[in-house]
Amino acid sequence: MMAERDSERKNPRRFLDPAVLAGIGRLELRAHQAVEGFLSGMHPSPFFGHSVEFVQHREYTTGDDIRHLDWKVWSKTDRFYIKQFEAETNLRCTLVVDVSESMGYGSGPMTKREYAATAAASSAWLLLRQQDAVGLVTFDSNIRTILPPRSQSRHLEAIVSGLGNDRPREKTDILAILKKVAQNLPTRGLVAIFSDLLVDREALIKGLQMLRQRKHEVVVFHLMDKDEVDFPFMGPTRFEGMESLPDLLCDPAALRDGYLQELAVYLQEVRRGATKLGVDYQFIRTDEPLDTVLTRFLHEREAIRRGGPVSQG
Amino acid sequence: MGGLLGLFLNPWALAAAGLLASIPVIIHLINRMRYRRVRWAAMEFLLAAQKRMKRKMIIEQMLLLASRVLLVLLAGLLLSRWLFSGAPPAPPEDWILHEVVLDDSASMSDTSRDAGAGSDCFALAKDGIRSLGESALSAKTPTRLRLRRASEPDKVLFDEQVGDESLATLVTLMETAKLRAYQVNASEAIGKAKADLLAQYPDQKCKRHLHFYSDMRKTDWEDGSLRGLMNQPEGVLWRVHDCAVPARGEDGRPESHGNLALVALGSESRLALDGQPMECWAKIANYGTQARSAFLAIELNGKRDPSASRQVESLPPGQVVEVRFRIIPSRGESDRASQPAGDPRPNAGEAQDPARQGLSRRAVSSLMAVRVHLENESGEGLAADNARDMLLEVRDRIPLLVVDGTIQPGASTSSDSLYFGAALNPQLFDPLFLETADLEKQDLPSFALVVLLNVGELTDTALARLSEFVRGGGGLAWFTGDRTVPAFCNRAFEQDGLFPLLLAGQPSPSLSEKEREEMRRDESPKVVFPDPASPVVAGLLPFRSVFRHLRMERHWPSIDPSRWSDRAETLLALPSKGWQVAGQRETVKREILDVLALDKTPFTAPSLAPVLPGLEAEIGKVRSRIATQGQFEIVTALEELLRMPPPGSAGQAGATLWDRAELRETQAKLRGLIRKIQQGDPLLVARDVGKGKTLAFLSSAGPASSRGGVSSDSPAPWNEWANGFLSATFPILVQDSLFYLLRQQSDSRSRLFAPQQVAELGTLPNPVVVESLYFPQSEGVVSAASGRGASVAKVAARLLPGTAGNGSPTWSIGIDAQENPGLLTYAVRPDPASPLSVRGGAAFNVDIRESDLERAEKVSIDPRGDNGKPGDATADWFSLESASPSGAGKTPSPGLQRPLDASETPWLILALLALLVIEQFLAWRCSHLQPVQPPAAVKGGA
Repeated sequence: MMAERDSERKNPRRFLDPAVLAGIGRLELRAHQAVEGFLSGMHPSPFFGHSVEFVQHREYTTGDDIRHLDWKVWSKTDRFYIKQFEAETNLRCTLVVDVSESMGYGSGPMTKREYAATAAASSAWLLLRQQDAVGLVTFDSNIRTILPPRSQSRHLEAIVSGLGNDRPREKTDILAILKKVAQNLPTRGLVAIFSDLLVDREALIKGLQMLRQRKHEVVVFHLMDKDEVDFPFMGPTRFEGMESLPDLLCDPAALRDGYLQELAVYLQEVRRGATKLGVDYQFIRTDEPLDTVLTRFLHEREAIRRGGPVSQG
Repeated sequence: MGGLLGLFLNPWALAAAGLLASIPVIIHLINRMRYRRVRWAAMEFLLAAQKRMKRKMIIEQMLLLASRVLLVLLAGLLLSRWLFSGAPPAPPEDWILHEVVLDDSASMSDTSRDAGAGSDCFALAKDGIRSLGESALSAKTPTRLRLRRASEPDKVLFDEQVGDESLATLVTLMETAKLRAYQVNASEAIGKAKADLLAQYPDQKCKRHLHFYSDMRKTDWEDGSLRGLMNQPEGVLWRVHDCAVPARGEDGRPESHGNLALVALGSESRLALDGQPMECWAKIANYGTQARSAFLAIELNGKRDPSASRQVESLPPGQVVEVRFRIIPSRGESDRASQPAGDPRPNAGEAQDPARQGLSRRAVSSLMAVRVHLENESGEGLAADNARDMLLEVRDRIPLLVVDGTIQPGASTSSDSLYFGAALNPQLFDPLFLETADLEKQDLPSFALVVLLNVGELTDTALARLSEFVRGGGGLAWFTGDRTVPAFCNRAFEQDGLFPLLLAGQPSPSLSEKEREEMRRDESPKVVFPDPASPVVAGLLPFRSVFRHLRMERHWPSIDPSRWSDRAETLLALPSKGWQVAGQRETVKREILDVLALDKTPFTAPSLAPVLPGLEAEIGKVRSRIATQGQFEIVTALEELLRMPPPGSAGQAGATLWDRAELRETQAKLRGLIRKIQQGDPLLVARDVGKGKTLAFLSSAGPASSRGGVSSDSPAPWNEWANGFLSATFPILVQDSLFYLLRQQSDSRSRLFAPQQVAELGTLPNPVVVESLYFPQSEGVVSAASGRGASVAKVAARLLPGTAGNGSPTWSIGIDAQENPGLLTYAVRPDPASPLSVRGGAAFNVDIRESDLERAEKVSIDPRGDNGKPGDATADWFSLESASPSGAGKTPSPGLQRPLDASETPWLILALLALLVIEQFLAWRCSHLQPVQPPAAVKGGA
């Protein structure tokens, strides 16, 4: 029985939960901003090309292909204007997954790391299914795994394997990690970060800012366990700090109020910082069903892209 | 340390609280050691929160801990009864000494319908004493309490310093205390209690309280002895506790309630004859203020006698009603079977042994228990006086010793004995005729009666034995004659009245033939009845008119009536000769007319106006007789006048108009005049001596005088009652006189309690008690008095040696004092080998003096006098209210008013309550059970 459980734990495909995949299978993950792809696809590209979506007129300059001249405008204004159309490309998405020691906490059936891995694997499956390229970076104090974006469906195996390899180890150095990720992504794309963000806030914001300056679309999946959100502990408890933090013996009920206030301040700062940088911030409790969380996230993105109201589902 | 401990009534409670105060700290430390471990990721927020809230948390936890410690300490302070006064321990002179006297007389069982079930004066008093002890326990100063019962003045039941253990002893003592059934002289107990109280710590100025718990009856206080003790305080603080139910009103006026009591039970004879009807009587007193009725139930040997039991319809308030009933005594077959068969009289061989004869006579008696009780009278008043017992000795015939002073040696009878014996009914009497010399040898207690016929002088020994016999309950009849020695008779009179009157030195002279002829022609009665209503002469009264034919020639005149007439009763008398003197006759006639003058008091009273016409007619008849008739016609008219019934009183037998209060004095005057008209020298005189009676007939029993007597010069007969025209009435005279001697004195069989000596057994060789049984009334005595049946309690009867008048050893039987009224029966064998046993017994009834429940006025019992205020420093009076079912409303125990200690002031309690509220609030707050709303950022983030 134990051996069976260990083998199941070692099987990386466990992160591909059929229930989750069935829930998000009908949806698409589309980039909000233009991404630089290498195939034409369903995502807007920063390069103008052939597409049905008209974008703008631009005054003709030497070297422009005269096939794009808008003769109707010339006839009216006696000037040459080039018609520009939005080019659609495939998405290069990099999944950045935190595998530090703090992600090893979990009060429910899954730890935060398992939840993050499942979410990342499900996202990779979705992106690969829509012909997008998906890469993976796992990290703690250093980058532990790095897989460049590929759009082949067999790449999913590599990603899932990468997610299953790393064990929680050390504390997170988010700034250095995000800096490396930014440097390793030559083209604009989607960076999805799965982390509990128990890191230095300034470093986090700086790292996100670095990604945004390189024109990446950044989605942050902020994972927190329900215990970390509700802090339901009662009775004398010794809290043993992860990632080199000191232990604390206390009456948790007495500290709950202060803890929640500190947490609220932290969440507010993170949310505000992310929003300010144009980062799509998603707060996720690990006791929520993952299919629900991803479905809601995908619906929101779709609604934002279409300019409609964001559904609460 | 001792001084510090003196500030607390229970200092050890504080020490215990000091130890217990560490418990919250220990619990806190244990909780610190018992925790669970959690590996935690979000330590950053936890550390920040802890850093921010550390001081607040510590303060709250410390406050909670402190409040809990304080709670324990404060509770300990409350239990330790902090005196709060800061005063040092009380010096010896501040000690309080309580001397308590508990009235345990029978009247303390008085209860009232208002007082509730199970609540009587005694219960109230016991509650009061218990409260006194409890109050003494909580007193600031050391308290010593001594308790004694009024019935045992010398015995101190409780004498201890009041503490927890001694209070428990006192409570147990109160629970087991029982009432006595006799009257108790409380003044003796109070006097001794007061002396003891002053004798304790004589050199110190203690506060000395003398408590008296009683129902404060008027009869207990009216002799003034209690009041006299109270009027001499001498440093004693009087605390008089009135336990009467119902309680006195606000103004101290006693509330009264009714009480019916059986105050007497008697029979016409103390010796009953088997199968012969016997008249008995019971007296019922109504101590209430309203007329009552009652059902008098009568039980004979435990079985109800329906023919004797009866309803008494009218019991006027404040009066005693005599109810007469007739019973038929029966020895019962079982009693006969248990006694020697055949003629109990000794055989020829034993005839010479008077002691043996006496034992045989004693052995043939049986006992019969007679109980009367008032049914359905247990709701109010005393229950103990609703029943009364009587024990009757039942025989086939009455043993009678006849000593004839005229029997010649060798003869068995004389003339007097012959006539006297002929007058005795052989079915009723068992006479033994002896000469004077044999009297000393006889076992007198084995006889019911002794008759002396024309006896001369007896020896001192014989006289002493007779005196002892009569004082012990026997009857002695003297029939005089020519051998009578007046000096000896007068000596016997001086000895406790054994002879009932004083005799003149000579008998009346013999009549001459002329005088005898005149007497024969004289139509006036030769014997008069001074009190025709007396039952002794009831049998002779129908023959009153023919007594004019009686020839009564000689008799022994009496002298100095002022010395004997007040204690003796003249049953028959010779006619007065003073009427023959004209001067005296006219004087008496004037006196009668003066008493019956209708224009003078009391006939002028307005209340007599309705009856005056009838009175006037009867008085007119008397006046006409005075004018025309002789002395006895006048007497007859006066007696008819005195028998005049009141108007409208057809139903009341024996009631006369003269029973009215305003006419009683006139009635007495008329009776005196009747005596003056008709009564000459006494002929038959009786008197009570000790428990027995003596009677003297001042003429001879037989017609002829003896030879050789003091008046032998006259051969003429003294009277012809026994052999003349009226000889048929002589047996009536003899038997009525003898039955009179057997009459019980007033309730003599209803003995009081606590006598050690129950009965005298007389001279017995080596007596052994073979049976002694007690039938308490409280057990519902229904068994036969012969000792068989249920509800019998064995008692230890003891034989008490004594010495007879002649120096011979005698025995009596005694038992310890009994608490419950009831019957004692015993059987004694003269010696262990004897087949004969002598049965006897006694009835123990509640003292009739306890039945009158009238309460003393407050002014009589209040030690402060009429104007005293409650809380007087030197004396106080308390009315203990009857306990309600909840026990509320009792007067606080007096004499123990002390400053409240801290536990009795509201402030310490309030502080404890406030601290409790604070502790609960802090506990609630520190438990963090209150709902905490997550900040909006957290909710939003989620």
